[in-house]
Amino acid sequence: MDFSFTAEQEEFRDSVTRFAESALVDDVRSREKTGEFYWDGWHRCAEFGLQGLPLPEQFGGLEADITTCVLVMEALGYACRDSGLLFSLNSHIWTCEIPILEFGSDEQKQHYLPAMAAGKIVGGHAMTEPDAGSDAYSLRTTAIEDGDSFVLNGSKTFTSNAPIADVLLVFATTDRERGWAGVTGFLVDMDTPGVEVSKPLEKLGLKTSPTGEVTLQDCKVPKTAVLGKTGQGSAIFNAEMEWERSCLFACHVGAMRHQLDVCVEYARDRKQFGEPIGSFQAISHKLADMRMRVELAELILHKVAWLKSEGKRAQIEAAIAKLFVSESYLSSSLDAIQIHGGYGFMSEYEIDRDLRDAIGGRIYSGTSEIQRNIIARFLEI
Amino acid sequence: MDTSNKIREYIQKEIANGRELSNEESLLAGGVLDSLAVVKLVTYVENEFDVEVPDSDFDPDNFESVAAITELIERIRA
Repeated sequence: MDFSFTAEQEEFRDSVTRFAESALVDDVRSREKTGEFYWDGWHRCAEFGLQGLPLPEQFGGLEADITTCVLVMEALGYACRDSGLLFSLNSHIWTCEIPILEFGSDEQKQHYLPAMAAGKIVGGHAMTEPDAGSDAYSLRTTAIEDGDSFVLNGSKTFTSNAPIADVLLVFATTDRERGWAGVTGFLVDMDTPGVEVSKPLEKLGLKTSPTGEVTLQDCKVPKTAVLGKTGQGSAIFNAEMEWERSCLFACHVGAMRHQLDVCVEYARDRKQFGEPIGSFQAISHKLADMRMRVELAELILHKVAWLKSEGKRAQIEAAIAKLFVSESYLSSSLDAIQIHGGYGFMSEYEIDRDLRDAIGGRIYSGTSEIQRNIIARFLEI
Repeated sequence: MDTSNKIREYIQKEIANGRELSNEESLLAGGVLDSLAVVKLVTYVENEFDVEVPDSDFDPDNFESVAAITELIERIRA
């Protein structure tokens, strides 16, 4: 088996690393204190072409294949310390751009994708509700047909990018009796009358990625706002999750690799009892585990990318990848703090950010428990 | 074994816990297929019948019954 990448892929990955190390370096700690979104970083990413990474050239994209996308996200995770920026970027691409690309009409693609690729408008998706989290299809937001329009009523929560979004892919039920088969996706422009967004929610991690609540009150959208077909919401959501569970979590793999580098350097330099602490098994074993997690996380992510590049379904593999990468990131983040001891506990040294971010990784894109449910369903028990 | 028989037997065995189904019975209203089961079913269909189900055909109406699924496969093959 050949696990190597093409020279072009490696070159592009390295160029993204250099870009992030030089252009995405403004102090993140000050933005974390206020939850400020890194707009300068967003615009620099757009100039580099990142918002349009997987999109066809006709829409201003870079037409990157999925393996390249995964490598780019790993590079960003490695080199950019503003994890909130990366999370918002990933939400924009995988939860809004890709659904439009895969399910949108020609008019929808032409209307949204060039502006999204240029970073001129920000996208996201609104699925989760106060009473519909893991039980996603028990959502209560309704879309009632009214002539040439649909009228949406309901509320969404934990909506990534909501406070800065220009368009959201909103999931609503158009036929409650059909359950999951009666859910439809709507492209809702945020300046539509009847749309209200809360101020950003304060979070444990990903502090610079704005998250909010969205209320829809008699929000009238034209029928042309339907993404795909009526009742196709679950297909859109499932397809989007395969992308999200691989590409978004590639950033975590990059972050884990960065963590490992920092910890190895610390273990070499920090001396206790006259020896570098890396010479003690209590530390070297942790580093070995961190290395193992990075390696295995990369392998499963790259397998998902390969399957999708071959046009194959990757539902179970994406679930395994998401579960393994997110749990590994949390374990390695705990190890990183422990290796650094008291310094790891001090926010000034920025070791704690990974831990705060990693906890969220076990929850969004489907909790670890849901991923286990998905895997078990495919085991034919 | 013809297409509809294969599909019906797969659903009965792997999704419906052995419950017997007819070709015309609603799999959605009957609660046989949920959103994950559809993905599992599509994976089976693609592997067994060597077809690719485009995302645009992930329409619940195409999975309403064994007959509807059979029709989908025949349409893709045509």
